[in-house]
Amino acid sequence: MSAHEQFADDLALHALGALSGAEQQALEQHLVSCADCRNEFERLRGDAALLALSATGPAAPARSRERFVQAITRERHPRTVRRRRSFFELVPIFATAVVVLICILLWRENVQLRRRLDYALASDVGVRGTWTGMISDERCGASVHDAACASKCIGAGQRAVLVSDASGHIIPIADAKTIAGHEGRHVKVTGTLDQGTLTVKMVELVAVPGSGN
Amino acid sequence: VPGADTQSLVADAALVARLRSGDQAAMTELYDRYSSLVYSVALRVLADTGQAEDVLQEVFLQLWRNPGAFNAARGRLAPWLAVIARHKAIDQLRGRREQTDIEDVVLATDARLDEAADRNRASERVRGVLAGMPAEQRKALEMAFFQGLTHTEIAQQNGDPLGTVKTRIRSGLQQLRKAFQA
Repeated sequence: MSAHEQFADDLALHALGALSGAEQQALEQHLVSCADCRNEFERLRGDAALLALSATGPAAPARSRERFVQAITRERHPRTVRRRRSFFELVPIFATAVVVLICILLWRENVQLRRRLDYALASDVGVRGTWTGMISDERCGASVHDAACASKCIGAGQRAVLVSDASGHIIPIADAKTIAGHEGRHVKVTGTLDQGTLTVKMVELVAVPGSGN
Repeated sequence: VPGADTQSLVADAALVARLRSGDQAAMTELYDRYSSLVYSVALRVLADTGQAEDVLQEVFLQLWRNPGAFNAARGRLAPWLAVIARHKAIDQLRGRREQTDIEDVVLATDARLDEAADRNRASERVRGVLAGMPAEQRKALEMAFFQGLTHTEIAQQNGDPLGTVKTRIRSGLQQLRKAFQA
């Protein structure tokens, strides 16, 4: 007798829930490892379920339907109930919102600064200040040899310039007369930078940086 | 008509799928389709209309709360609901806590039970098969299914040998299967 034949009667009983004790345990153990018997068990359960159809009787009372509809209306469906979020679940959302806000503020500040910078570069109006550097002429620039060379070139019509210590830029001087006597010298100039040209108000000699003078 | 049957089968599965999103209209549609079947089984087991109504309520509320328990790929809704109703009613009859996890209830049948007309025809056929059995065999099957008695209890109550009860029950289920395979 094969295992399947041995359990054939018990499968039918088990499908009806009519098996008990050691026989039930032995069959359940067998079902774990036997796919054929599991399939037959499911079919026998289906066969047994047909017995339910012999139980015809009066229809369910209308009040049962009303009661049921009221129950499902009252009882919100578990999947549709909106769960209240805890504080800790909201922390990442708040943190993200704060970061986004800071980014927006920084971006706006950056835009404003760029506009101000563009305006300043474009207009270059009336920047008052003090610059130090060497008085030279437009042609010789930073390579001027000495005071006599610079004075000669400026006297010959070359435009006077200040070779800035800070940036190395050559800044044209509006009027050569304002720096007369300081050609080829290291000076501190007070004046106004306007449209890239320096209008000198005051000039004084200063020591060349690193010369010890 | 096979086409109509398939259509209804899909409709049952589709209605159950809609329950997952809390669709009340789908739930009442399923209730209207199968409440008579569930109530009849519960009433036959409990012989008490109030208790049968309670079982009816419980079965459909359980489906409403946990539609995933029914796996449309592994069986049909009508027999599944009938078996759940039978389990609950027997638990109530015996005054015991629920002993069956509805997700474990898997059953296969060739019978068409999805349309009301299908169920009426199937019901007549089952009654015909039972009427054609020897009284002892019919009694053994009904005691097991509607009273939840074990084969030992049936043998004791009827004064029959255990082996005889086993054979009658197995043979009875085989006859039911054959009636729906034809």
